[in-house]
Amino acid sequence: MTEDNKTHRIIARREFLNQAGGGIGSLAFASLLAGDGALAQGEPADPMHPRKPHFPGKVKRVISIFLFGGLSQVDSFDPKIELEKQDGQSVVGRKGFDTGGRSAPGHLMKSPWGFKRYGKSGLPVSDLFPNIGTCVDDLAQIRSMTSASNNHVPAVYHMLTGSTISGRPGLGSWITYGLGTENENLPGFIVMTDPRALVGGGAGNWNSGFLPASYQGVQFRSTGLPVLNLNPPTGVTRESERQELDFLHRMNDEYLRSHPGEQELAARIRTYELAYRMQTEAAQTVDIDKESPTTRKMYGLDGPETQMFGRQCLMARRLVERGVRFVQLYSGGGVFDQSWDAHNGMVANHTKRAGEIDLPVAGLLKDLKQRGMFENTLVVFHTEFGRMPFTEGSTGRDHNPNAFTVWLAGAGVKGGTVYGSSDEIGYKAADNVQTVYDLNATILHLLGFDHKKLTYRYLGRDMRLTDVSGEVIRPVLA
Amino acid sequence: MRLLRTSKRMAMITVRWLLFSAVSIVVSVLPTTGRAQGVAASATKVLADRCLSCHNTTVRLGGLDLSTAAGFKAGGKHGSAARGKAATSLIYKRITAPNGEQMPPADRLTPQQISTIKSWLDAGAAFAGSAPPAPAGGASGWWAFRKPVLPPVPGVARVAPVTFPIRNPIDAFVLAKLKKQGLVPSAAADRKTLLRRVTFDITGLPPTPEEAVAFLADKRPDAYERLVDRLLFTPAYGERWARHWLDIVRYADSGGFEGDRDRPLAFKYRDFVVNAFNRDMPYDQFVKLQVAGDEMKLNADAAREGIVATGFLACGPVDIVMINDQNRANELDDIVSTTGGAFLGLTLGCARCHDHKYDPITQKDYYRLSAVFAPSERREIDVPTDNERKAADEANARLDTKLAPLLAELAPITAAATAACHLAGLAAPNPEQLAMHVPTESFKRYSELSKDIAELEKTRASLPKAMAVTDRSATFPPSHLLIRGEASRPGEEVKPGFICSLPGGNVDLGAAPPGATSTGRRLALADWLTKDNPLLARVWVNRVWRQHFGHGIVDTPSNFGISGQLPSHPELLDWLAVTFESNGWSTRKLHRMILLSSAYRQASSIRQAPQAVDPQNRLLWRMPVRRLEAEAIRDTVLAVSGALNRSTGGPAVYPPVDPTLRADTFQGPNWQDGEDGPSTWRRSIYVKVKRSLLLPELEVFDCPEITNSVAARSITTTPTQALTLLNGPFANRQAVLFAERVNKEAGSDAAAQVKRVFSLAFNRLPSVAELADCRAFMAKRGEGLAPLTSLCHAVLNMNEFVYVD
Repeated sequence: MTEDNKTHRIIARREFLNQAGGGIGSLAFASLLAGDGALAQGEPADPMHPRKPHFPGKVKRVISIFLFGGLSQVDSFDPKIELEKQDGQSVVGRKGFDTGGRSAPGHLMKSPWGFKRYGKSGLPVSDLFPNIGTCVDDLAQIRSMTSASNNHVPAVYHMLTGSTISGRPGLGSWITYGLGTENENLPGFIVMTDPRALVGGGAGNWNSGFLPASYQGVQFRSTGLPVLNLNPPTGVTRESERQELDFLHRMNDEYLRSHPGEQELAARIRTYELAYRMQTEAAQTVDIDKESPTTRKMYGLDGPETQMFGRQCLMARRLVERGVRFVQLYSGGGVFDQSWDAHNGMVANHTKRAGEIDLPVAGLLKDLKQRGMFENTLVVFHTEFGRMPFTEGSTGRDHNPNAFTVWLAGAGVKGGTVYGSSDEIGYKAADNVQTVYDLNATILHLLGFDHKKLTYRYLGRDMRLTDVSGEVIRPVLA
Repeated sequence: MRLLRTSKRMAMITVRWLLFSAVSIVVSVLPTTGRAQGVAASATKVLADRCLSCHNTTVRLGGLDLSTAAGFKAGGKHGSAARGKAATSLIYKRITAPNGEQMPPADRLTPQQISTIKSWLDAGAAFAGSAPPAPAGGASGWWAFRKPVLPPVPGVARVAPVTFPIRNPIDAFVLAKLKKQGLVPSAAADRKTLLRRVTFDITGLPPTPEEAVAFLADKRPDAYERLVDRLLFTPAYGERWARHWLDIVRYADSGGFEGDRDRPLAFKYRDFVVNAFNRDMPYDQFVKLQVAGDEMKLNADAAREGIVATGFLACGPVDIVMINDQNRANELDDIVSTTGGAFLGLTLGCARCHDHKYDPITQKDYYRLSAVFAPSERREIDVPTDNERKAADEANARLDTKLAPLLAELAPITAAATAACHLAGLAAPNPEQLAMHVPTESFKRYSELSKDIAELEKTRASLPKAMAVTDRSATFPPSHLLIRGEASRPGEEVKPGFICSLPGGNVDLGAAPPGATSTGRRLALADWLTKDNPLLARVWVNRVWRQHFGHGIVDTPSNFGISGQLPSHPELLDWLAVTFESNGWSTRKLHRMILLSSAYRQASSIRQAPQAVDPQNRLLWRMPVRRLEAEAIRDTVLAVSGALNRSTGGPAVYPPVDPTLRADTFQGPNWQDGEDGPSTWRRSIYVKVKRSLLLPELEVFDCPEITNSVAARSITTTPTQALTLLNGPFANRQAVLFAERVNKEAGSDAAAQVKRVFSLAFNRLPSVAELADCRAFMAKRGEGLAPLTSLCHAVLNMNEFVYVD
C-alpha cells in the first residue's frame, strides 16, 4: 500500500467513525450480530461496515477466477492414461454411458496436450498451463466436482449462486453480507467480466438476489473507467464537483435538521461522500501504470494475448490489497469460441483461451505470495462444468457436468493436494464426489463462517448459500 | 452373509413392533379414573387448539393425524407420538425441543400447556371420549385460514384527540391500539406535505406548481377529499399502481435464461393491468381473468381482455433451450408459487418436495394445484377487436380481388409445368423443380406473375396477437406427485384440486363437460379463489395498505402462513377485508378510505416517546418518511424537466444504455438503443423490462431483477446511486432541459429562477437563507445557462427530491 493510500484510508475511517458515532445505526447493527453468530435481518445503517464472522477465519479476501464455457478437465488438471489407451474407441452402447449433452457421442479422444510433473508435489499439469504448473505446490485441486446442470447459464448460476435458477445471491454477495468491507472508499464485491463478451446469465451471477442490494457485485471494467458513471461529465472539474457537493450537503443538512432522527437521510448524505472518494480511489486502483516493469511482466501485460486478463488479475490484486472483500474475474463470455465452450475443436479453442490466462493467473499467485498476501487471500479457480472424454464432431468435446476439476490456493489451503477423483477416463466423478455446496461450504469455512448459520430469512425460510446441503472439504485445508 | 443380515434386520423390526404393541396395550388397558378424565379433557383441548390445524385427518403433515386415538398411536413418519411416559414420547420431545426445532413451529406451547400434555402422557395418554373435538373453523385453527368476519369498531370517538379526529373506522382501530400502548398519534401534516404525499402515492409523479397553488388556495372544507378523488381518476394512477402488481406477478418483456429472448407481445398484459386499475375493475374479476380469462364465458371485448389477462400465467421465465419434463415441472412450479404468493399469500413452493414445514399444506395439495395448470400452454393468440377483424377481412378481400386475375393467368402455366414434371418422373415437384419445367415461352410471364403475387401477399393483413395461455384440449392425462420434485420420479396419481385445509379446497375436479375445448380446471380455481376464500381479500388490502404506509399490517405481504409475521392490527385487517368485499371489491374505494383517514394524514416527524416504544412504527403513530421507488425517481426527473412524454400503452421503449452493457446473444443484440429524446422519455412502466439487463437508472434504485414474484422491494442507499444521479448522462441531460424550462418560464432573473426551480421540484418557495445560498452557488458556476443548470442538477440530487414526508 502506498503512503498516499494509507493516509487516505485513515482519513476515510475517521470520517466514517465520526459520522457513524453520531447515529446508533452501525452500533446497533454490531450488537445485533452478537448472540449465536447468525446475522441480523434487514438493512443496517451502513451495510458495508466491517464485522466479524462466526469464528476467526484464515481468509479475509477472495479472488474468484471463473472460466465460462467449461474447462476440459482431462486436458488440464486431470490426466487419464486409460483415455490414451482407448483413444479412438467408440462408447456407443457401452454400459453406463449416456451422452449427457446434445451431441451424438463420437469416439474417445486422448488429450492433445502432454502433461508434466511440477514442484515438490510432482503433480501433473498439462501443457496448456505451463505457468500455473509451476505453482502446483500451492494448489489444492478437487478432481471430483459435479454440476446440477448440463446447460451453460443454469450451470453457471449453480456454481456461483447455488441454484440453477437466477435470482439467488452469489458467493460474493453472501460474503460481503457476512463480513462487510474493509475499505469504505470502494464497493465490497467487484466483478470484472471478459470485455469482449458477457458471461452467460450476466448480472444474474452477481446481483444480490433476496439480499439487500448493497451486497450486489459492482462491475468494474479493466480498461477505461472501472465503474459506470464514475467520472463527472466532460468539463466538470474536481473543484467544481466539490463545490456542488458542498452546496448539496448544505441543502441536505438543512433538510435533515427539519427531519431529526431520520437515519436514512444521513446515510444518503454519506453515500455522496463515498461516491466522491470512490472517484479517486477507484481511479487509483485502475491506474496500474505505476506498477514496476517486473510486476507488469509477471502478469503478462506486455504480451498481446495475455495483457487483457493480466490487467484484470493485476487489478484484482490491487483491489484486495485495498481491502475489497470479493473480486470475481471472468475469462470468456458470449457463445462457443468466445468462451471455453470447445464444441468445434479442442486445440484451437483451449490453446487460445489458456494462452490468455495461464501467465496472468500464475503471475497473480506468485505476486500474492511475494507480498505476503497469501496469508489472508484465497484464490478460487472454477468453471461451470467439464468436458466429455469423447469427441463431438471430429475434434470438439461436449459439456460434462459429471466430472470436472476446480482448485483453491492461498490462506488456509493445503497446497500440492489432490482430493477426489474421476473415473479412469474422466467421464464421471468416482471417489469423494463433490458438489458446489461442498465447495462453497469450504470457502465460507475458510472465511470463518459456519455455512449453516450464514442465513437470511426470505419467503419464510432461512436461506443459505448451501441450501440444504454442503460439507466442508477438510482434506484440502491446511 | 446377505441372508444373515436380512434375517437380523427382520428380527430387529419384530422386536420394535413388539415394543410398540406393548405401548399400545398399556394405553388401552389403563383405567380411566375421574381425575384422569379431567387431564385427558385438558390435554385433548391443547391438541385441538394447538396441533390439529396441521395434524388432522385431512391435513396430515408429516403423516401424523392427532385427531383420533388410532392416529395418535399410529404416529407419523418418525414413529408413534407416545412411547411410555412423557420423557420417552416423541410428542413431548417435539413440544419441548430447542427453539427452531419445536412444535408448533411459530408459537411455542405455554408452560401450562406443556405440563398438561406431560401429565396426560405420564398417565397413559388416554383420550377423553373417542377423539378430541374437531378444530374450529373447518380444517384449520390458523387465523388466516379462517374466513374474516366484520369485527366491531372500537368505540374511541369520544376519547380521540382533537388533532386526530375519527374520520372512519380505520382511525378507530389505529387509535385503540395506540392507546393500549399509551401512545398518542401525530397531528395532521400541513397541506403542502399532504398534497405531495398523496400525489406521489397515487400517481408516482409530483404535483405541478399550478396544482399546488390551486389546492393551497382551495378553502372548501372538503378540498382534500376533492384532491384525492381527482387523483384517483387520473391515468397516472393506473400507471403507478400497475407497476406494483407487475412486481408481484414477476412481469418482464423477455423470457430469462440463456438468450433471454424478447417477448414483444408481453406489453399487452402490462396494458391490461394499467387499464384494470384505471377502470377500477373489481379485484375478484381482476384475479379471475388472470387465472382463467380464456375459460370464462365473456362477450367480445371482455373475451379479448380475458385472453390478454392470462399473460399472468405466461410472463414467468422459461428455459427454451432445454425442453424436457423437469423444465416443464419448473415452469409449473413458477406458476403455482406465483399464484400462491400473489393471491393467497402462501408459500406454496415450500410444498414442492415435501409437506410444508410450517403451514397446513401437503405436498399432495401442491401437486393437486399443479395439475390445475398442467394442461395449459403458452401461445400467441389472435386478439382483434371487431373493427380490427373487419378491417383485416376487408383489406384481405380487396387483396384477393387484386390477386384473382394474376392467379387465373398463372394457373395454366403452372398446370403445363406440372404436366412436364410428371413426364419427367417428378410426381410431387417442389417449387424449384416446377420452375425448371415451365415452358420457355411462358417463363418470362411466369417470373413476373410469381413476383407480383409474392409482393401482394406480403401486404396481407394479420391480426393483433397476445402472449397468453390456453389449455391444449378438454382432456389431459393423469397427473402425479413428483417425489422430491423430480420429474423423473413420479409418485401417486393426484386429481386436480386445491388446498385441502382451506374452506372448499378439498375437492377433486372432474372431467370437462362434453363439447368443451378446455379442461375448465383454471376456471374452477378462479371461482374457488374468489368465493368465500379467507385469504384473497386480506392479502390484497394488506398490499394496498403497505404501499400507502410503508409497512403492511402483515409485514410479510406474500406470506400469511405460520412462518410469516402476525398482523399488527388483526381486527383492522379483517374489517378492511370484509368491507372491501362488500364494496364490490373496489380497490379505488379502498384507497379512498385509507387516504381520507386521519391515520394517513399524520405528520411524519419522529417523536421521542413513541420512537422509544415502537421504533418500527408498526402501530402507526406517525407517517414514515419514504424514498421514492426507482420508477418514481426517473419519472419525477422527467416531469420537473418538462420532458415527460405522457403517451400511454404500447410496446416497450428502450432508453439508451451505456455501450459496455450491450452484448450480442443468440437472439441478436440484447438492447435496442432508442433515442435520448421524447420517444423514450416516457413513464418508466413503459421501459423495456429485460430480465438480463435492467435500465441502470432503475436497477440502481432497487428496481428488482424479476425472476420470482417480488412482494416487497428492498430500499438501499448506495454510492452507485449517487454516481448515477451525479455523473450519469440521464441526470445531466435532464438537468439541462430542466434549466431551459425554468429559463423559459421564469426569465433570466436568478432569484425568479431559484423560486421556479423550488416550485417545480419541491412545491414550495426557498427560504431567505436558501435563496441566498442558491444564488451564491450559482454565482460561482460560470456564464449563460450554466449557473441555472448547476442548480437544477444539484436539486435532482437533493434528499428532498427523492424523499416524501
